[in-house]
Formats: sequence, structure tokens, C-alpha cells
Amino acid sequence: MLGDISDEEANELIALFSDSVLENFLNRGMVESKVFPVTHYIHVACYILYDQSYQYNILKKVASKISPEDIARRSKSLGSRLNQLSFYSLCMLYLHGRAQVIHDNLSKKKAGETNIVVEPETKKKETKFILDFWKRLSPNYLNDGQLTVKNKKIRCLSDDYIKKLKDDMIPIDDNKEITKRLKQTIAHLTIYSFLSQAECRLSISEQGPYYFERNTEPLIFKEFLELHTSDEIFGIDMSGNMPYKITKIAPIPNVIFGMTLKDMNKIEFNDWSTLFADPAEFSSNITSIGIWTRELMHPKDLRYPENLGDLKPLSLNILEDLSEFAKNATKELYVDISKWSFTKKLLFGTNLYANLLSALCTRYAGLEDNFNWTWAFDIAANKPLKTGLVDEKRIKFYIEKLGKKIKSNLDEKEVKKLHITALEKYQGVHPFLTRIFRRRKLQQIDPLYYYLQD
Amino acid sequence: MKKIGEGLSCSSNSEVEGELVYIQSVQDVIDLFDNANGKICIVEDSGTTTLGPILSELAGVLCPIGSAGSHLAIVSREFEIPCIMGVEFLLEDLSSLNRKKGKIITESEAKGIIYLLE
Repeated sequence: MLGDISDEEANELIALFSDSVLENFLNRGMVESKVFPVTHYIHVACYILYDQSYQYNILKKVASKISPEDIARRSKSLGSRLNQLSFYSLCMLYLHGRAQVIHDNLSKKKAGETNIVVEPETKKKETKFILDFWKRLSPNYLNDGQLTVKNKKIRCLSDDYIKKLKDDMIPIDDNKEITKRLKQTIAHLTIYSFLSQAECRLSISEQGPYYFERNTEPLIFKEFLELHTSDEIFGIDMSGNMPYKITKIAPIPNVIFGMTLKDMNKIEFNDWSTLFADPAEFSSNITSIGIWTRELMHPKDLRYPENLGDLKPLSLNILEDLSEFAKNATKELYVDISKWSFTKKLLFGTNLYANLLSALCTRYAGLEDNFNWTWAFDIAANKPLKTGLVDEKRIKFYIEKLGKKIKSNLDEKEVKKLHITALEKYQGVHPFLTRIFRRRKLQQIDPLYYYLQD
Repeated sequence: MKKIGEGLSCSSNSEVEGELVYIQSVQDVIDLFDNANGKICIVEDSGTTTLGPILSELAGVLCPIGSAGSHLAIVSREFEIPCIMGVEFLLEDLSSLNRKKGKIITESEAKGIIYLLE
């Protein structure tokens, strides 16, 4: 039965995941913007996922219809909204919320509060379920069967799949005009994607390197999974609840760029599907490109393993259309969002982090209509909630609690002062994050995301 | 020409001159919607959303935090805009730089120096 794993196995998975997240975090740094309270809304969403058993309650229903293994196998394609980044984030955000609550409980205990159960048995059971769900995803998605991106490659496509794409690739050796157009389109789409998803990275994905038969030039993909063509957010119908309007919609709902590269010193990916390349500016290394869009089909209706519908190759002319869309939409959204209240901005981001991955899984199970996905917007608009799965008062409590900057344990001895100062700068930061900066030795005996607690 | 800071050069190696603008709010960006051309913006966020709508028109970007892997550096690179991340400014009041002319010079592959043109 899903979730039926021992305490030892759960602790091993927690330690493994903690090490992986730690490595990814330390190579990145915090993302903040003047537009969205990023750290604050991520931490609110994480509280909801764990403290309100939100993710457990949804994924348990999903698992009764479709196995995580099958979700992963069906996602082995280009342009899939569920990918390595989503599988990794599904576990990370849950464990993040769990760590916040455990940290809170340990702090209360330290302050002398009695009757504090740091991690109740029901929560341990839920955590084991999420860990077990997660451990069945990536090994069935990544070709190397690993739980995390250990060999710095994200490869989920078969050789046959790659072979079929070869005829669609356009050679562009030394054509600076084309590479400039390509680069600028990717840049405009990146800006649009981050803004329209409140800085959330889940609509941009990168994977590779792959090789065509007898071809030594690595092939990488960059996917923009969510361009605005209707009142949907990641396939969930938001009619009547869309938080924004874009006048000129995108020419296509998603776009996938494939590039073969020559003379590269390094092509590496991390668990967040981010490419680390040397040279970092590799436009003169591109030898051919392919552009595709994925027709939007409902995953539950699709065949396995050639799933998620066909890719449609596009000509280079689409670059200007995409740039034009992204530039206009970015300006329009920016002005619109600048007028939003702080609460609306915060709940928009909370919605993405709390709902998106669970909602995508319910689509694979054909259960998306059984849940309400607009509660965050309803709270922002002071409307009554249409779900019993979240507690509005608790959500407001998290927002306020984090807004006050929880400083209780920011004086942990092992934490470097420099990092505390950096963290204190950000509104909504949870002090558990200071655990990231502890010494390596301490991380090994007490992982970032805490072993199961008594 | 007075040196006012240095940091990690993360984009094209070209030199650039432009009017310095210290971005402190979303409104500062909206105010530049029609006249961002030729400006060198100083921004304290290493993400792309703050400068997003005007980034492609700027002459340069300066950011006191972040690195070559920051979203802002990645996108500036795509636009071939000089971008210096992790800038250590030699003055505290960055707003005093507003409307003054600045120059970015990339000294080596990784080092970007910022000068105030007098």
C-alpha cells in the first residue's frame, strides 16, 4: 500500500532529499522581486500543503485512480507540465512545510510550552505517504532510474522519440541573425513566464543532453509550458476567476525549443531543471534548432507510452509572433499587477505553489473537477470558500505570522551571521531556512528537513 | 571619471555609457516604459520581474546581489546587455546617482567596473 514504508526508509529518504535540496539552494540564492512577495507566499503555501494536510488529501484521492509510476511514465515527453521539476517540487514544498511546522513546535517546546507533540502520528503517516508517492515518480520518469538528478542530466525521452524530431531541426551554423532572434524570443518569453507566474519557475523547463544517432552534438530543450491562450492556469479552467486579463493572447499555448550545440565545455542540469552551461553565452555554439508546440489534450484520454498528443513543428516565423506577444503581455500584466493589493499578490503566488502540482496530478487521474481550485482568489476577494480542504482563518494566520518576520530562532549558533542578515531582509522568511547554512557535519546528523520526530 | 563600484561581469564584454537610474519601486519602472533606451538601471532584485518590461531596451544593468546564474543575469545575457551582478558600490546613497552619466567597463572576462562620468 502506498505510504507503507518503515521509519528507517522514511528517514533515509528525508536525508537524501535534504542533501539534494541543500546543494541546489546553495548554488542559487534567494529570489525576490519588487512585484511579488516571493519568499512570503512560498512559505504560506508550504504551511497549507503540510499543516492543513492539503497535498496529502488530494494525492490520496489521485492515487486511488492512477499510480505515481503511471503519472511519471505518461509524462515522459516534451512539453509535459509534469516533469522533473514538478516531481521534485512536489516533495520539496511538502517537506518545506513540514520543516516549518516542526521548527515552530520545537521552538514552542523550547520556550516552555507543554503538551506540544512535535510530529503527531497522523502527520508521520501522511509524510510517509508523500515520500512514497515521490520515490515512485522520478525513477519512472528519468531514463537512468534515479530519485534525483545525480548525474547532472535530465533525460526522459527515448531514442526513438528523439529520432523522430531530427527531421524538424533547422541547420543554422554561423547564422548570427537567426541566433539573435532565437535568443531574444527566449528572453522575452522568460520575462513573461516569470511575471505571469508570480516568479514561479514551474512554467519553464530545460532538459537534456540527448544525442541523435551517430551525432556527437548534444541536443538540449527549453520548454515554455504556459503561454496565455485562454482563462486557464495550467489547464485548470479559471473562467470567472482569472486574476488578470491579457488583451492579445499568445499564438500558441506552449513552445519547445530544441538546440544542438558544438564545442561546449559543460552542459549540466540540476533538479530544478536549470541548465548550467559553459560557455554560459552559447549562441555561437548552436548548430541547429527545432521549434515545436504541443497540442493541448487531456492527459487522462491519452495513449501510453506515446502520450500527451503529437508535437507540431513550427517555422522560424513564429519567433517574432512570440516575442511580440510576450513583450505586450508583460507590459500589460506589469501595469495590472502594480495595482493589486499586497494580499492579492501574495495569494496569487500561494495559489501556484499550493495548487498547481496537485491540480496537475488530479488531471491525470481525471479528478480535477472534484476539487475547487479558486480558494486563494476567493480569499483575496473576500468571497466565501467553495472547499472544505483549506481553513481560511489558518491561512490568514500564516500570512500574518510570517509577515511579522519570525525571529525566534534566528540566533542558532551554527548559522553564519551574514546569512541571518540576508534572510532578515526578506519579508515572510521562516527561520527554519537558517538550517541551510549550518556546518556540513551537522547537516549529516540532523538533515535540513528533520528526521521523523517523537 | 570616478570609480563607483565593481562586480561580476555576467554578460557581453562591451563597454557602455548611459544615464544611471536607481530603481526603488514598480512605479519607477512604469515611468521608464517610454524612455528606457540608453539607461543603466541599478536594481536590488536578482529576479527578472522587476525590470522585466524594460530590460530589452536598457543600456546596462547593475545589481548589488546575485551572480552569473541569477535570472537577471541570464536574461540580460540573452539580450546582450552588459550586466554586472554582486556590485559592491563605493557609496551608500544610490539614489544620488540618479540622472548622472555612468560607464561600465569590463576589465577582464569576469570583472566589471562602474564609473561616474563627470
